[in-house]
Amino acid sequence: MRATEPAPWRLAVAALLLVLLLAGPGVTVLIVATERRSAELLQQEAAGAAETVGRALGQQLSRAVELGIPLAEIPAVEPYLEDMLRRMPAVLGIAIHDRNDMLLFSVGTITIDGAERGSRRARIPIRAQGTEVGRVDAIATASAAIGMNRLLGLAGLFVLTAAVGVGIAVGLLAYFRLQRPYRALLATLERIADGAFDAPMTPAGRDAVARAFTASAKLAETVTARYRSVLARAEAIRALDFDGSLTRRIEHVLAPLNRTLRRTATTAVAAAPDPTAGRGRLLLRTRVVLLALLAAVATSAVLIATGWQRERVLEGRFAAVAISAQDALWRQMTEAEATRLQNLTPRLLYDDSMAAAVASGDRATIAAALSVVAAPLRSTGEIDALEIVDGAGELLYSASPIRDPRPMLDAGSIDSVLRGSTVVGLRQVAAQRFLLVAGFPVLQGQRIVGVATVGVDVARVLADFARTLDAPSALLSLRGRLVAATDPELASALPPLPPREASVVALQHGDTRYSVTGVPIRELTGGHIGLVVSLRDATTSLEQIRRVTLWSILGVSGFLLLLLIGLYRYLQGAFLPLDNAIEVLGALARGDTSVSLETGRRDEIGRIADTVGRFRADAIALADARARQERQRRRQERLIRRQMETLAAALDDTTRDELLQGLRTAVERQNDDQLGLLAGVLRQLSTRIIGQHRRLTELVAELRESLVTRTRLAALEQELDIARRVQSAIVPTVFPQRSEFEIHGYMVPAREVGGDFYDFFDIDAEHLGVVIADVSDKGVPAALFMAISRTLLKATALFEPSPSACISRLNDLLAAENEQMMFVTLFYGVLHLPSGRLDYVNAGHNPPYVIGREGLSALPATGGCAVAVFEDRTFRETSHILAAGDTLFLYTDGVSEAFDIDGEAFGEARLEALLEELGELPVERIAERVVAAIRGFERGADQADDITCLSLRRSTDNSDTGNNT
Amino acid sequence: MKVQQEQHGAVMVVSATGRVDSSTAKTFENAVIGAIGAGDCQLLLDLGGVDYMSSAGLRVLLMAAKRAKAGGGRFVLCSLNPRVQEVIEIAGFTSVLDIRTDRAGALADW
Repeated sequence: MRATEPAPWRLAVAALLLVLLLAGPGVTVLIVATERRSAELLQQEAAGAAETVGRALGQQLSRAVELGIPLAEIPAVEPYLEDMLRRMPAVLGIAIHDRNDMLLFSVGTITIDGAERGSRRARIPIRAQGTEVGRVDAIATASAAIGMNRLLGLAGLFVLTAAVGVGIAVGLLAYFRLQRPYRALLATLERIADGAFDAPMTPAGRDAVARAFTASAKLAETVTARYRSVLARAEAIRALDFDGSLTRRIEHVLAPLNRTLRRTATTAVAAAPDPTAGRGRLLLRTRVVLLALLAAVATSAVLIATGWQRERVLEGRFAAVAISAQDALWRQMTEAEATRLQNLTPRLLYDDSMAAAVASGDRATIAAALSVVAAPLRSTGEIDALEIVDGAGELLYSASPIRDPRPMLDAGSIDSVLRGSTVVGLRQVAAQRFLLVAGFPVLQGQRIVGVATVGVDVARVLADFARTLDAPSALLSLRGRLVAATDPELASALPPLPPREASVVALQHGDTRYSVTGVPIRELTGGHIGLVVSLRDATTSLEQIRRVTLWSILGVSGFLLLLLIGLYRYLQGAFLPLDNAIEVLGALARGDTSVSLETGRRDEIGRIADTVGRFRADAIALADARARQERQRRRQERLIRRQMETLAAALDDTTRDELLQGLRTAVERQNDDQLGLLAGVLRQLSTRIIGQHRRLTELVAELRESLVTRTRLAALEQELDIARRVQSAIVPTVFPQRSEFEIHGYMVPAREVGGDFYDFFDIDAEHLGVVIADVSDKGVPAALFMAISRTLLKATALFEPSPSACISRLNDLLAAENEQMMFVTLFYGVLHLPSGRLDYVNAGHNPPYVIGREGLSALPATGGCAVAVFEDRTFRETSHILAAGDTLFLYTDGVSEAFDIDGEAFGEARLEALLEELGELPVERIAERVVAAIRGFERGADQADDITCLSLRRSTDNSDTGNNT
Repeated sequence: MKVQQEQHGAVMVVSATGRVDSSTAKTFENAVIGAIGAGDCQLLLDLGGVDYMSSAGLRVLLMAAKRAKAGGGRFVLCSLNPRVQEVIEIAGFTSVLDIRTDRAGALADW
């Protein structure tokens, strides 16, 4: 594992391994103890078996020696021993030594080598008359059971190994499943502590622990968000600090203040409830402990099951050994007793008279003879019953302690005895009375004439059995009734035993624990008749077993408990910094920076704590910065507000009121984001100011433009004024009162002065020159051209009486150097006052009208073109006689081409119609009427051109007057 | 008052529309005199769209004719409104101006 990997998972797995590894030796010790105990038990049992066999043999041999047979000369010992060996598989070998340690007889293995660890030797002395004459060595084993025991031990170890493997697998699974969120949390914390604010969120797990980690990461995220918002705000303030001097000054002033204010600032933050407190935080530790507990319990359970199974097997073997030993002993005892009974035969059937009596069926003789022989035997207890049956099966003699007993031998047994064999076996003669019987033939010579049966109460055999076994014994009938017992009080406490099979049970009687072994016994005929039961005092050994088991369980349990408690405490200690770190994170997320975290550890937990500590320091620094910047901000806000108010004062009233209202609202809000509100108002303000500025610029531009225009206009006006003055100065406005004619001229200049003019002058006493002209175009040039034309015409006319010559001359003068092609249309006439003859030239002008008694007529044109256009033009002249009272009306195109608002011209037709009515009016009224008509016609339209009229009327009585003049 | 120019072969055709009075005469003068240039031109002035012409306009026509004559070019008027025709006749300029009834005829005779 790398050093950067998180500690709790390593801890958890290590703890689990520790439990299993420590449990391993514990279990091994347990197994060894059990094995040793079982070996001990088996060896004990083997010893028991050996002892049983040895005692059985020893007793018989003692009896034989007592009967005078030297130990070395007892017949058929070896086959007997072999038979015993065959019947008891647990017994490996039997040896008989004499008192000088010389081996007399031996069967099977009689030495104990290393391979037979479970073997035990029993050494039983053979005594006769109180002195030891030899000894029996019996060797028994329990090797088969021990082999099985080892197998079970191996199985237990295998299971243990498997449990360790499963534990490691579970631990690794937990490790890999949980390490990802854990690492993500650690990474997030470290990134945040290093000042990176884009720490990604850990993926949410379904698991409670993963959720806890995610919650922690969320906390970190929240803290980051606060961090970021504070920084953003600080940035905003810095951005608003126009030259930075404000920030420096405020910082300088506030630095000492901040230190004292820190506590207030940090405690002022409202404490919000931690949403993750107590949820999923302890689960991690609990889980690890639970996991360890589970593993320990599972391992223990498996071991206990194995031990129990081992116990069962051991008990089975134990029972088998006990049963076979007891069975063998019982057979041995019964056979020994049967042999004794058989040996009584010579004493009973001491002479042929007896055989004869049996053969003849002489019951009296038999009874007499037997009563002599049998009575002492019965009185010593050597026999309890005697029976004689003849060759036909007829009972001839019976001596029995009970009344009307069943025959001791059944028909089959009698038959086999009659054929020459000897029958030995148990016989149930009454419900509660069992006899060991021996039937043998009664011989008359070589002829079998009857059967003699002797019986001894089985209680006698039982007493021997009990003595040999050194354990209280009892005989039970098939129905479980007690038939005989060496210790009836103890026997009455026997539990019910299965009547037809061997069994071993435990019995608690008083303070003593007995191992009860029941072995079924069979009748002579082969059927089950009951159980022979031994009650061996097993108090010591069973108590020992119990103690060992109890202490094993207690020890293992205590060990596990201690281990778990230790593990829990250790994990608690290990996780404490993590818990604290999470608490500190939570507090920081709520803005509480007064919490602190101390740990001296150097592992990952320690790193988390360090990280959180750094984080906390940052958070405190941030809180300080925030408080400081908050104050700066407020000052700057006030400053900005004042500036804005000043600025707003420069605006127009409506806008100012609006902005001041906005500022007041911003102040009243008492919002954290005052700057935002101020920024809004500022935006509004700048928009207004920009708008106003733009409008002002436009106005200035307009003003400048209008100034230029006005200057130009003034120049134009001046020009027009000059032109108008020139024109007005040229045109005569004083009209002579003459008897020959009446004359009146009238000119209404247009706004832009045209080039119209009229004139009249005396050429000599009888000739009057009359001219009306219209210079092309308008303005000053036209006015000047008009002035020149008028002067030249007047000058020329005085020495050139012919109008055509005069105009030709004028034309030549004007046409020269006339690049601009200015020209003038004119009508020039010379009126001979006495005759009324008018010689005239019309140079491209509107033909004048003559209003006479006959009506209105236009003076015919003379075909001339406008003056000043082409040089060397000749102009024709023509004449018209004006009658007395005729009125000559001269006009310019300003009259005929006056337009109304619809663009229609006044025209000659309207003029002619008007003039026809004006022939009688005084001349000075004619122009007045014409102008009035034009004004009426125009309907308010602008006057486009000069309106010029000249009216000349020849007086009715002018001849005298004219001549006089 | 609007003035348009188009080229028909060698002939430059200038069409004027609107009123030619003292206020618009300057525009008219600039257009026509500009088209005349040094005088060595072939210019047809179409006055079909002119419904009124004051003496200021006449002056421009005279100037154009004089320039063309002096420069060896040719200056022709066509499609005159009766009123304009009358003004020209009264002023006695029919003898100094080359006037045709319509544009097609004028161009055909060129």
